[in-house]
Amino acid sequence: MMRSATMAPGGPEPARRPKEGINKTRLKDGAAKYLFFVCASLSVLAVFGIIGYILYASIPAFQEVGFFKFLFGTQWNHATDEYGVLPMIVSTLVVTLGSILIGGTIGVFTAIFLVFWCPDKFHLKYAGKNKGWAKVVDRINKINLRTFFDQVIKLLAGIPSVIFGYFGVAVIVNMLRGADPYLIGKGALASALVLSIMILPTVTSLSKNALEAVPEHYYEGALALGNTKAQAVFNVVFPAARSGIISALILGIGRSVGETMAVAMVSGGRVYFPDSLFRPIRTLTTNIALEFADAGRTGTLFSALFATGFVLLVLVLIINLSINLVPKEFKGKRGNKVLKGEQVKAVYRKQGIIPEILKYVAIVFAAFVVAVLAALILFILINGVPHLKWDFIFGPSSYQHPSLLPAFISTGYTILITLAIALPLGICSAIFLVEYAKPGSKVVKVLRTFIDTLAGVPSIVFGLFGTLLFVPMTGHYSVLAGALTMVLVVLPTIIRSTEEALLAVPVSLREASYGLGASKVRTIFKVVLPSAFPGIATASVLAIGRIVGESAALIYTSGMLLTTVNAAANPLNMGSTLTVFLYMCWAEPTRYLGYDQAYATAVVLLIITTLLNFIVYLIQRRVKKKN
Amino acid sequence: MNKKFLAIGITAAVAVTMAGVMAGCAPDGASVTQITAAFTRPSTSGTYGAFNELVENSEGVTLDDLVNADDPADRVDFNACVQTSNETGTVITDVYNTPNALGYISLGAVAANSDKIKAVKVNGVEATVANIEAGTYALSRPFNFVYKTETGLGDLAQNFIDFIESADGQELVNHDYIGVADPVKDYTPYAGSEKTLTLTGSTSVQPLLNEYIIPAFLELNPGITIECSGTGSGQGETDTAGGLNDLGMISRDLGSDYAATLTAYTIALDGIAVIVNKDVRLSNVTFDQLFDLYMEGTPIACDVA
Repeated sequence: MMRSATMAPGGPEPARRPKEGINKTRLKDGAAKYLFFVCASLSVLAVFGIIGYILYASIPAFQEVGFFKFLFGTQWNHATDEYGVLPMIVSTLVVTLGSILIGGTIGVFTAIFLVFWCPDKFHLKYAGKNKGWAKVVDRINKINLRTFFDQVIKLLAGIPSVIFGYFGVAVIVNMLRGADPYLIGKGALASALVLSIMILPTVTSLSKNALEAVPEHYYEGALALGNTKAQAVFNVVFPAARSGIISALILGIGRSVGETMAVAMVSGGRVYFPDSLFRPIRTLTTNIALEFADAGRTGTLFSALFATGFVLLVLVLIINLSINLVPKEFKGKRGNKVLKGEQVKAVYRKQGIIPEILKYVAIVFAAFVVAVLAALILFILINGVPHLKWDFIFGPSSYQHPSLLPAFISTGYTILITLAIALPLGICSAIFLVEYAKPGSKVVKVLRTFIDTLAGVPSIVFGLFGTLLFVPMTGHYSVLAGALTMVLVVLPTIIRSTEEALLAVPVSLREASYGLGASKVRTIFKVVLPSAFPGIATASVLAIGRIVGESAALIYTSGMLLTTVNAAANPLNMGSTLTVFLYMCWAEPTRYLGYDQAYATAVVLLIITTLLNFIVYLIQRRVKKKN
Repeated sequence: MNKKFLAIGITAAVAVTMAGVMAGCAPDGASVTQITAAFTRPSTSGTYGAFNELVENSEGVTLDDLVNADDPADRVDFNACVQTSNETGTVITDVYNTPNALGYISLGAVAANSDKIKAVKVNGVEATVANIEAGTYALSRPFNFVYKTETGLGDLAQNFIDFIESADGQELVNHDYIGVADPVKDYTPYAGSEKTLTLTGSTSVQPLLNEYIIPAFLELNPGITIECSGTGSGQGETDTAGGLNDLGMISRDLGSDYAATLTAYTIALDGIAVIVNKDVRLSNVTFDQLFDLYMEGTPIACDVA
């Protein structure tokens, strides 16, 4: 996660140049520094502003209900003004724990399979004589299975959570129904299972990175000492990657805690302690989603929802801090344990049947992941493709024949406005933090923790914030208000990813540039930024993905409505993005707009997500080739 | 070796996929013998409020009396067999997928989803527009527009209401809802300078406007833009109080918090239909049965085949 401070390349100052040139260069340098500083300050202001505001807005609830009564109360009733969140805190923790036990385990084992046992290619043979088929088989054999599998899992990360929710309702809840005493199937278990699927990509990708970062000679050395492959993997490589895997699991926990819409659809929504698998429950985020609609802008309920958001914020903060607590000794240069003397011998001596069993566990879990993925994608395609009509996607939109065109326009505006603000702000802030701030500064460290916290705050909390700030500011629910809210959602991620990208640029490049007489600003713009470009581009594409997939924060800022192409053309009007449109089809099915249209929209979203992932893949492949 | 692993993997994958897809197939409603579970809505929904206030047992105690009793000692929560579905559409999906459960939704949403669910009689009376008009069907509530009492209605908002209360408008309303215009007004298209009409609030009122009223209104007033966003009845009230819309939509009576500042104007009546999976052999429920199911979890027996 956080790079060690010694890597921060803020250190060396450019060499002084002859006097005549100084003034202009200095002016530029000074102006640029000032600009970066202002951006960083704005970001800091946003970060602390939001955190401070959430606390400020929760105070009335804490005062009226009582702080401890709020935290430990077990009743939540709007009509009688009783607000206690203990059952929701417990439900959130239990469901998260369940998802980490199930999804986390499966994800880690899948990562192990991907790195060590996944065959490179399909080894299909074709004995027939049909040249066409032979060609097809040849093509299939050329696919790099490992990359393919990896990409498909990443695709899972980009699918809007509303779709997971519906998959949960239609498939997972249906599977569980028989075991539920009330034959419904929703509740704690269903929520944990849906979350398990949703955290798979996070856990798998990051665990895979951690495993791949373990030096090759660990593995080879273990084999050379007479271990079987399974023993080498589970006794040597896996422990060496431990800290990276723990970090991956903690990030998975973050994702679990913050999920809103999908859980709202499968949890049953009652305020109960999760004392049985099928008990209907309500998590903290779903509490906000369920109560928000009618909470209004004033009153205790509204404040109580902010207080719920505050509890979430504290949870996320704890999760983020616990990442930093992952023992430093495991963090070698690439986050790995370095084994010493006796330790190595002890580890190598461990042998036995268990690794061999674990090998099969990894294979079975990976197969299971493939199955779930296939089921999810098939579910969307089977239900959606038959209703995918040209008129519905690009036709002129009217109330009797709604099309996706206005939603496309609104999505486009939301992306444009959000990125137009968040990208410059985020990139400049990151430049200030990396290039100008004192390396190793405590202030910067604290700042990073808060930015990370903000990145983990569930988007529904930003929705609350946006309704209160941006909607009145623009005087109206509008695509603009939604986009401004999304700026807050994506800004922390953009800052952190840009920082990572800047830090990855070797200090030697900067020094070489200074050595050639370039000023600091010139070095940043001509040397550092171009080298960091792929990282920043990836961050932008991921931000687009986040915007496309968002529902909770946008429903309450830019509206959930049917609109016309003309109305959507003005971002000051209300508008629904594709994901909100999809949710509307499911939420209020009518004669002209119902489940069929929802699935068709889901297919469109799946295609968009695939495209975005493909772009990220291309960027990363280019970087790899360059290296 | 690789091939063997691949084979195991693919077999498992196919098996689970098949199971998953098959589980997504149509549920069997016809073989259900009793209704043992129920769905409700979030406590802030207009439909929820109306349903709770209307359903009462033989002693005249409503669900609302128990669930929201002022004295915590008197308060009884719904039985554990009751779960919350966040939206009308989720109730429909849940009831369709859970044949042993019933739920309640706006009557206006029933016809469009008759491939999944059906409305059952309540106290022996069918949920139809005619029965609500005649006052025999017990579960109905008003659809209201709300506006600031102080500033009154805007020109365009007034014109929009006039259209709903015109002969054409009432005919449209009466498809799935019950028009209340008395007497029916004459309507002339809007001639003023306003260009945009913004409505926010109840998601139950939204379909009436989206499906029937707005398309017809726009045909007569082609230059106008209408924004009709659904998020919830409560938001309809607060948005109106905060000046964020021209008209708020609420699917219940005006909340007491806003009685002083807002005025409600009833544009239609809507039935609340009790729904089950379309294949379930249940034709009638009584208030007593509903009350006992929601509060005690007492099963409701289906009709004998």
